[in-house]
Amino acid sequence: MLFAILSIILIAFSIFRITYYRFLAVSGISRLYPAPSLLAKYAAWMRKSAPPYFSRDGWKKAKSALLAWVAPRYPGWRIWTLASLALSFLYLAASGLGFAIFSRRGLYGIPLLLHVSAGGLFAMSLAAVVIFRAREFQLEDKGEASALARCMVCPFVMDFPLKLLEKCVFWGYILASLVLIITALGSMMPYFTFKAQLGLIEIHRYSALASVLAAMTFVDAAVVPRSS
Amino acid sequence: MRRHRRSNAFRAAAVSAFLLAVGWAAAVQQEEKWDGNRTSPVHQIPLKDEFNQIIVPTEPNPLPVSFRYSCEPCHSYSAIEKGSHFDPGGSKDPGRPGEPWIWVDEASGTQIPLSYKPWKGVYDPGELGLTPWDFTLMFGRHLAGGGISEPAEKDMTPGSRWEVSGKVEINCLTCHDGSRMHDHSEWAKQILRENFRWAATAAAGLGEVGGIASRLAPTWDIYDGPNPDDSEWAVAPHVKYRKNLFDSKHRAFVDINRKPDDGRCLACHSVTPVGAKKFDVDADAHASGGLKCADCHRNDIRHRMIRGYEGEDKDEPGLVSRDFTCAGCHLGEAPEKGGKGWSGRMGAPYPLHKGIPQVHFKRLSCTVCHSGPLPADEAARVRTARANRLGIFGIARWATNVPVIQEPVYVRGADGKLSPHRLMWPAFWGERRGKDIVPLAPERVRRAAGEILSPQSGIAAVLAALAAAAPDAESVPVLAAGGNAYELSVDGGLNVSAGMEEKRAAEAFWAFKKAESLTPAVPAFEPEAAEIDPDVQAQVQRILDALAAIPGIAGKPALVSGKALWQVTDGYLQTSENPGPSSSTAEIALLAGDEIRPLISDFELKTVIATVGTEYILTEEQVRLVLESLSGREAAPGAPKSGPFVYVSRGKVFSLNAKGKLVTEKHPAAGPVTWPLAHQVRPTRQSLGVNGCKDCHGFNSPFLFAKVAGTGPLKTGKAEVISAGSFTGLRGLYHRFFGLSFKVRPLLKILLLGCFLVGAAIALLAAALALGRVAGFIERRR
Repeated sequence: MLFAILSIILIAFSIFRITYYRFLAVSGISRLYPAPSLLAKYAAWMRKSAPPYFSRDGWKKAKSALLAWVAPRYPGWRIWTLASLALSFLYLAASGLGFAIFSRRGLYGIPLLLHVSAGGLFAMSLAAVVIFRAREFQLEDKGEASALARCMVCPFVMDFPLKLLEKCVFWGYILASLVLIITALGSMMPYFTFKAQLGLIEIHRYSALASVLAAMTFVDAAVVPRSS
Repeated sequence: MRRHRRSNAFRAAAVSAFLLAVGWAAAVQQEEKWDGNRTSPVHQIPLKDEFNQIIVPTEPNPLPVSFRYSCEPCHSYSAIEKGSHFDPGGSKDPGRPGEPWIWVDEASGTQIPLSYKPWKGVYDPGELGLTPWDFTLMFGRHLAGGGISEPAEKDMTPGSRWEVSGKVEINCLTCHDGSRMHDHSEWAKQILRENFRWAATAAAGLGEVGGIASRLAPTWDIYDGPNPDDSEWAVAPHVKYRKNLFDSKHRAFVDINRKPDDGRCLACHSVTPVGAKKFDVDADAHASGGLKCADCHRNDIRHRMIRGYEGEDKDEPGLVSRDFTCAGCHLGEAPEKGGKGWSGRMGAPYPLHKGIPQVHFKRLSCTVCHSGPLPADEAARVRTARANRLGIFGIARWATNVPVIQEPVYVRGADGKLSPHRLMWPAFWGERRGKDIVPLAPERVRRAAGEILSPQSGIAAVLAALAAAAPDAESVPVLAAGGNAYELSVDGGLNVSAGMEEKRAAEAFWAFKKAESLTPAVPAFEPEAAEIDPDVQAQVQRILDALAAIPGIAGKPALVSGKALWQVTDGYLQTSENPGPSSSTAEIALLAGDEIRPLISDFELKTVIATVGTEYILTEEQVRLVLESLSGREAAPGAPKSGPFVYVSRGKVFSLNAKGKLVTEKHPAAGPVTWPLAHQVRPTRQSLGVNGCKDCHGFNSPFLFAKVAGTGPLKTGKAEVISAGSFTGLRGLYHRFFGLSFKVRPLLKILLLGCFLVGAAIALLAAALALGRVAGFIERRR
């Protein structure tokens, strides 16, 4: 129950944070913390800006933005590693969180069978993406390293570089995914007691939530273009 | 004199009422009165009879022991009589289903599950016309007394013989006797003899009981004492006490076990696989570990037994049953008011359940993996003490193969968890009433069916008669037919002759069996010969004479061969012309006027071949004939309107259609009756799943996909077959695919581990590089 509530709150907050920052960027407002008057403007902006994303034109724009981002980064057949990662992750997140939030029983039946199968595909494609793309997300220089260190000391700094954010959430996503893989594997092995298994499942769930939040942030930071 | 006895009885009743009141008060405070010492006191106590008089064993004609009065001074009978074993309808909530009593009438092919508790699929004995008297007589062999077997005056139904037999008071010693002299077989014997009030005394070995109450006139009562006119047949029951048990103050030593020995429980609760060898049967894991049944199945003075299933505390709020579930001892149930559980009670090991996903503990009861036989393609057949009358020893064999009880099937309970169950298929003749089918009393069916239900009787009568014509003492008359030889059984029926199985006989013929060879009863001879061998003639005459002695035989025995007919006239074997069709072989037949009839009918022969030596009792032809007979009887002028009639067996309902053809259908009344099993518990190393997930999750796993075929008395190819999934509610196709996934699961595990290692290695490398940059050890080369 706690997990369901926490998931809803965090995902909702994450959507709000992403869209609110977009709103601030578009409006040219530098104030970070929402005031009631700002929230009203934000709501009006959302009512105006969100629907086009769900129109045919919006889909086309999204597709072209995605392809523009993918093409230089995943040339040739490598695109399939990203595609399989994205598709398997989408299913894993939808089925796992969907059942965790909306079903008291948890994941079961055919969705569970597919969840386990998608897990294998996800692990493979994650390993491939890490092999091909990890070097792009290592710290560039000492300045970036210092910024990261500052951010770690005070995560609410205003001047968190977008590039650094991209790198952080990438590695956050990778770490959460590795935890997902190892907890899933642990649950299948006859080495852990019942209580340990309960712990593994809890860790698996919270890692899944973390990976979803990281993925959302990454897509916002890296894929969606910074324009009005 | 009579008046004096009545006034004594009144006084005894008044005293009893007073003592009961005192006893109740004492019982209520009994637990408080316990001084804390854990030993059981020696029970050197005065034994009392049912009039609350002390038994003096040296007196003439002492009465049997009454535990109501013998135990009452210290233990409240009125509190105990509400106990689980004595009061079948006692609890407000019937609780989890238990094993029903099964009313078996082999002759009519009846097996009806009965219970006074409203469990699913069982019938209330009262609704089927069974009075407490009938029930006690039928099942008293495995009842502990009290309850319906000790009815109040107002509950005594006409036709019962409680005045003669006495009531079956609670037999405290049936559980608490520590003596090895306690004899359950004696109890069963005394109950069958209607020696109800004497049964406990005899079973406990306190005295020797003679006489048979069932032979006494219905007017006899305990005041009448011995029957001076008959010392052979209608002998009134009487006791000769073992005097060495009594001291000079007439106090008897009764070896009491406060916590009954397992043997006392197993007398009525044994369950054993069919065909198992005694030396090969292991004890329950708990018993092997030194626990007694009563260590978990506890009770207080009220004798409401802890059954130990999850949720029992809600059905029986007064019991501390939650502590004695599997989880209660092994896991330690967390107290409702918070705090940690107290596991390990009575040395119960704490289960680690390594590698078992959580869903198993949500959806399965502990017994699924740890109790009963392992699932196989077909459910195992077991015999239970109460259903199959086990544990009653003597010259006569009491144990029966019917009803067939199978285990395990996994049924989802009210708590949503699967648990292993035993199963039996009801079989009975019934009458449709609206959508329901109401069982008919076997007696009514037998009356309507007449000879149809006893096809063996004619053949048995012939075999019994042929014994007189046997050439020597070792030769046993048999009927060779259908590839078997059938001989007379000890109870007057037929058995497949031992050692003769699979010895094919071309046609049916009467023969004598000696060792393992068959000699035709009528020796081979040439019927057209001018003179027949005198030995053959003598043998034929012996046979015809023997057959002529069969009571009620429907003709004169004769031997027919070719165109000739031999019969015994005036003590001589005479030949004449065969009035019937010429016979190619010598056949024994019956001559009725000018008509030649077979000695046994085709129907009898077919039915015997189809059923004797098998687990079946009836054929479809018999069912059709009985249904016709029942319908015919009901259609008779003046008969009360009833029917249509059906026969329920093997999961189907058999009835006659408009054309008189036997047709089948499914019906809830024909469905199996199940009840959970909890024993025997297997050790961890033998639990289901010890070999891994594939114990249950496979493409054809018996746990999920076993078939349970309807069993019952009817030989038919139309028996219902139920898949395990219909009990578990688990979808077959999904679980087949799910099972299939376990084939590739090792590969998946390797894949996950490999991917994790690759990802983790790169992440570690990146982390090391980042740390190096933060620390200034590494500068990026430009």
